Amino acid sequence: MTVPASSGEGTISPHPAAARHQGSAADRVELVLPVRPELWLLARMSASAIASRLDFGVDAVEDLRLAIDELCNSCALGALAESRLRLDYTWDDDAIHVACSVAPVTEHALSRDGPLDPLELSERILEALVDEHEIGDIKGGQRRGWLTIRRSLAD
Amino acid sequence: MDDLFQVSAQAREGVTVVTAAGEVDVSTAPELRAMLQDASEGAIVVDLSQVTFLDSTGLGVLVAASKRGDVRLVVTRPQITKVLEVTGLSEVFSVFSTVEEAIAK
Repeated sequence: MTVPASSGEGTISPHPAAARHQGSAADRVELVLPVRPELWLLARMSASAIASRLDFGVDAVEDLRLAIDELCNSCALGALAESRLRLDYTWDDDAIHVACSVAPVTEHALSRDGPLDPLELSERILEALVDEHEIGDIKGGQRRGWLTIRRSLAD
Repeated sequence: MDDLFQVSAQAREGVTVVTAAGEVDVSTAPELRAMLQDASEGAIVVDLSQVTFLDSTGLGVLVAASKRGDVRLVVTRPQITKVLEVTGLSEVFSVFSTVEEAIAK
């Protein structure tokens, strides 16, 4: 499921922070998954492993796991059975950046029975746990989002 | 991966105690939702003390159940307390540190 950073077509365009990232390919991991939520455990595990290797504290690792989950939840709204979820992890000395994209996606009809907009809780969680984030609108059948969590807040 | 989440229910002292364990996310939340819907008569105590991960989907399930009746949460893990606090839901739910306290409310 892990592909090289130079995989070409379909590779996520990095978010602003990651675009400035000057690290080597060794500082970057891409994960491509079918949009099957039971597999998002792998996204959480990847994030946890990266954060642990960077000596983020236990609480920060837990925050990142939850934030990654919410990033996936948000980007996958309106995904189809054949959709793919791509995560692009990059990092430097002070921060971990994660970009996510899901394609194809359609406009998601929110459940009228639901008490809350599913994006609302995700947004509250991301706002509290990460330093920067953005969930984009659907463009060209794809939804993208990204987050950055810095060590200064994390620890 | 299915073993990462378990949920059960039992009647105790006039309330239904739903005990969840493991990770509550978008893939396992439907099991919790089904259990809470089955236990929709009277007050429900949801014991989350063995839950190690709770995302917005799981929170949505709890909120939906609270719209239908009296739902009390048992929370002991700091990470679960934190997610309730950052979403503002700690003000919505009655939160207890033990099942016995929740039942006795």
